[in-house]
Amino acid sequence: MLNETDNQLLARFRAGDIVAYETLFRHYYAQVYRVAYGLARSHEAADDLAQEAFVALYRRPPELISETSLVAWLCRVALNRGANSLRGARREQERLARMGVDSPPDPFDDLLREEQRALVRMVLAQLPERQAHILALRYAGLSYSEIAPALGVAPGSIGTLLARAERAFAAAYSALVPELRNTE
Amino acid sequence: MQHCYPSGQLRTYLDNELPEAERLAITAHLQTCPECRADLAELRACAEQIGGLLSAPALPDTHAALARLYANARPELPPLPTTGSRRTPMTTSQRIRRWAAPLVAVMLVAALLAFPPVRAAADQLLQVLRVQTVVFVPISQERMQQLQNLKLDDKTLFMAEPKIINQPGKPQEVATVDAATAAVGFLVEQPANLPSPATQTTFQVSGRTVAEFQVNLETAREILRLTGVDDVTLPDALGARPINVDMAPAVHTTYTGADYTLQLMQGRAPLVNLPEGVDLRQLGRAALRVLGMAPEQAEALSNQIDWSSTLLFPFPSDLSTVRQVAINGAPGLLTTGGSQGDRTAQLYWQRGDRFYVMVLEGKQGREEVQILVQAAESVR
Repeated sequence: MLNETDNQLLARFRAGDIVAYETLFRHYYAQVYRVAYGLARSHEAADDLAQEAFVALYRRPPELISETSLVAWLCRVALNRGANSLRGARREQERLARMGVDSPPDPFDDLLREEQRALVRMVLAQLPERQAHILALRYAGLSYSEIAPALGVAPGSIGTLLARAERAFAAAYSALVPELRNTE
Repeated sequence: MQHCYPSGQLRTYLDNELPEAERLAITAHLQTCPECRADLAELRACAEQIGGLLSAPALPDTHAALARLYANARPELPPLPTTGSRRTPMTTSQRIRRWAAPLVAVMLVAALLAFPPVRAAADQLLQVLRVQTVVFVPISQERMQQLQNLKLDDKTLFMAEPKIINQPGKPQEVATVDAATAAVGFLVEQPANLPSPATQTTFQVSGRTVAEFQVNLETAREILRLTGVDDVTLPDALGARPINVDMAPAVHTTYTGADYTLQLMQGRAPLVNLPEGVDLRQLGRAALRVLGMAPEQAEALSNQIDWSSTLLFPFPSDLSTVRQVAINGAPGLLTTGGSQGDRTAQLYWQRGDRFYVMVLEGKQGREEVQILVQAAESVR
């Protein structure tokens, strides 16, 4: 469904109204950030990705068409930029495995949380890109009608893709956790 | 027997994203098919595990993010086009500072008014304010009485009638939660816990509203004087230019069950433009003082609060019909009232930049409060 409000704001922004841009920023920043966080697993990286999406919006505001929402467009930009950062996570996998050998067990929650974030990031990095993206979008709270245009797939296929991605994630996660334990 | 459903369809069912007819068909099929039930249970367990691992952190600070974007990227950004319907450039003295979220000045005005009952104040919130943080300020009966005795005419607080620049039009009814989401541009949430399944659910979407009004500084200062607040001054800038409020669309959902009606209103923080030179902290302190807080306490609290994103919500401290409750750990304000046939309970709370007002009719006493809080906590 065409979102009149976003289209009006985009038209105003194209005509040079910075207030319209800031309105869009305030409407969607948190949502794009959450999606980016789902993929990048760190505040700094998520903020960078979300900011890049909004810089892209500033430079080239899209022409919205039917069935496409602006939040989907912004998320797609953030996810595409995030693909590079996720590739870096594959290298991190080796580093973390070494850390498991070298570091003594640490009782602090922060460190445990950090380790879990790194684990999740590694699992996402192992998945096909589209699977990682659908998980980031869904668990940031986007509806199927928002996820579909962000991924460029039909809304009817979201359930199938999501179920497949979740099973792949769960399998990779449970495979990775024992693997890390074994390195101790 | 009905054929079994593929995992993808069951996953869509789990997210409540299927058309009604299909959803009902699957519900019926699940009653008789252990294989599909097992598949659904496995999908649910998997989703819950991943939900725990991928859960998002606290919402980011959007104001700070925008400031960062400008600080880091703006020098590289191309200038905005100058053709088209760009507004007349403002001079420095006309330049308006923009603030997202709550209009402390409006709240000051609201606080200065002849104190509307809290229930009416909650209704007004829906129309005027959406905020990141709410600070509930208890106000004594004595102070309320004093404010009421001022018998202020709310119209005199503005130089002219508030001007509506963009009329929201009549609320539009839409058929589904997806349609409501598409219309308002944010994910519309619903309560999972209702007293009994709703027999009817309606969604109404209200449009964007932009309003402008100018504070009558003389009246506002007079109120401070009459309430004995002489340690705070209101800046001239407050009355110099109109205050502009841009309210995003909101959604009003009504769930009707066998013996209750539950309404949920939800929306996002408005954009508020305040005249340059208005010190929000000063306004906040004035509001706290008018509400009866001691000077030192008001000073200390006003220094702690981020006024650019905080709403002061005064509530009578000594009325049993109004009290603070916790909604998933965050503060909410509950009001109950009315006689037997006309009984309602109302709950206001907020999360991130989203505000919610929930109204329950048809239940009473402890059950009423329990239902309302449970429904509020299940909104997602």
